[in-house]
Amino acid sequence: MQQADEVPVTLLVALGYVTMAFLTDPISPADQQLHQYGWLLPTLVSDGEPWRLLSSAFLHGGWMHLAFNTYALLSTGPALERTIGSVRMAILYLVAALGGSIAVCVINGPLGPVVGGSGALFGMFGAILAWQMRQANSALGFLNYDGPRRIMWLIAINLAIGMFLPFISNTAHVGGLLTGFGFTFLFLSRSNKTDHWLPAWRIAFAALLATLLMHTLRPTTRWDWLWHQAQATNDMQRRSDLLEAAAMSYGNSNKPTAAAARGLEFSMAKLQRTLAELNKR
Amino acid sequence: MAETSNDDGGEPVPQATTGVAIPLRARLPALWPLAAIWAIALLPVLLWLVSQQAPQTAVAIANTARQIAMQTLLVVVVAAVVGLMVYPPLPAWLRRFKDRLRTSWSADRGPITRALSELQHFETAQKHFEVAKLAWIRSDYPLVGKHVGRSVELDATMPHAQHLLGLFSLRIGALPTALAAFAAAERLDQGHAFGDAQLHLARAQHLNGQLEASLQTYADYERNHGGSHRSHYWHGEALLAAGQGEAAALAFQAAAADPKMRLTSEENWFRARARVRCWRLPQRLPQGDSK
Repeated sequence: MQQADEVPVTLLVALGYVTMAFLTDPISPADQQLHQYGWLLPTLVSDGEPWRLLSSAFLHGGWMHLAFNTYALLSTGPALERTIGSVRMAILYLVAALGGSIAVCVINGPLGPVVGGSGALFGMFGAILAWQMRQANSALGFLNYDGPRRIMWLIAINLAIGMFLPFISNTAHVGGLLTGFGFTFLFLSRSNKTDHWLPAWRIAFAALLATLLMHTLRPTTRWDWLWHQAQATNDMQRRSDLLEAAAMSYGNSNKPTAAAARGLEFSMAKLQRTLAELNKR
Repeated sequence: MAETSNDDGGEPVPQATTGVAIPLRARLPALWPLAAIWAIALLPVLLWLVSQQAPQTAVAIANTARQIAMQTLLVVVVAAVVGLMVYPPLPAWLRRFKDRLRTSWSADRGPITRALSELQHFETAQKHFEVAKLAWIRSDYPLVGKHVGRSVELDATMPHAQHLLGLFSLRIGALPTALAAFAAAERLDQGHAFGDAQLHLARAQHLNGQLEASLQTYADYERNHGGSHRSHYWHGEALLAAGQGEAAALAFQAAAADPKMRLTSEENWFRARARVRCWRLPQRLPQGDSK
């Protein structure tokens, strides 16, 4: 464990960013390259490619995106890593990345691709706040210090920027932030003698993450998954039920309509054409 | 409850027993966020189970839940905005909630942890009281119950421990214990905590159905310590329960009076509620002043 704690995880993550950038294109990677190296497309995650939940946290959409995220990682990562240890840092990065990706899959539409490590970076910001809350004399004691206050401003400013720029996924940011905060507060930081509720909160947090992951992999109420399931089954009655449910989900109503069914077929046909293009080498 | 003799050889002083069961009502503030998380966590499982049999039903449940959530959010936002403008208890409640949260979240953990560690080696009534007091500030009722009870068990002659036991018992609805504890605090130190023990004794008497004793205690309190928005409000409630409508209206009017200075959030909460009482009892107000 001690030896594992000497591995420079932050540096390895930064190297991962740069390596993936060079494998795609560090300046302006094409959609096809990002797709092949694992961008997060919710429909593909539920269609048997769950590794995209993590691989997307190492991909970036251009040199500016890469520069911002690498700068943020290298500014906050080493101090956090020295505080909590390398093994915990590695786990935190992956769990926060997973949380951000799950949020995107559960809340966003199934066909919007997302790349970037910012969900995990927000998870690190959340982890810093959670750690400070745990270490200070009182839950709000950390607000007396300049460092945590700056982190809070950083979070607020970045979330505000994300609200105005359509190409930034605030869903991933918020998902990563909450996951990193919760995970660090409940599992990574030191508990004290008065935490009677800690075991109950730990179980609830783990259960929430697990069931949301289940919903990400099997989104039983999302039209693309229902359509894929309908195509895969040989039971005609089940297929009819699934297509009806898919049309209801697509039309966002409790009754399937012909317009929703046509829209669904059109969207799925378009998705398949797009995927065929992206998969061309 | 058990009784022992006071060190001064005075009247017997009640002792509490440890291991108080906290009713669900008092534990609810700590439980509802957990319940909300479990509800969200179980929804995907429920949808998956339903979709195995009837995928349309699962989609209908999800759509309906989404619509209800959006409509509820809209109604809550509109009601909150309107309530903040026209219903005085709502902003007063928000201010009190914010203050309580700030107090609870700013309470220093150091002394409580230190006191708990010390108690493992050497137990004293004062140390148990310190833990209970800090836990009370943090609304940690299981911890309060455990330590304030033990503190009174070890030394039943500490008025501050009896007072805290009374407050805790009143909060969890253990009225006989609260009555005995406030009475003991008042007996051990007359006018304890600037009359707060006496005021709460009156409240406990009212809630326990001892209306005459309660009205007498309120009158004593107001004579000895002057009234506050809270005491007038509670006094008004007791008078109303005793069927003295006009006197109650006067008490509510006194509770709703313009304070001329910024009130604490607790006092402000009672003033806001008194203002609503004054609206509801206009026919009983001699001057019809319902600010």
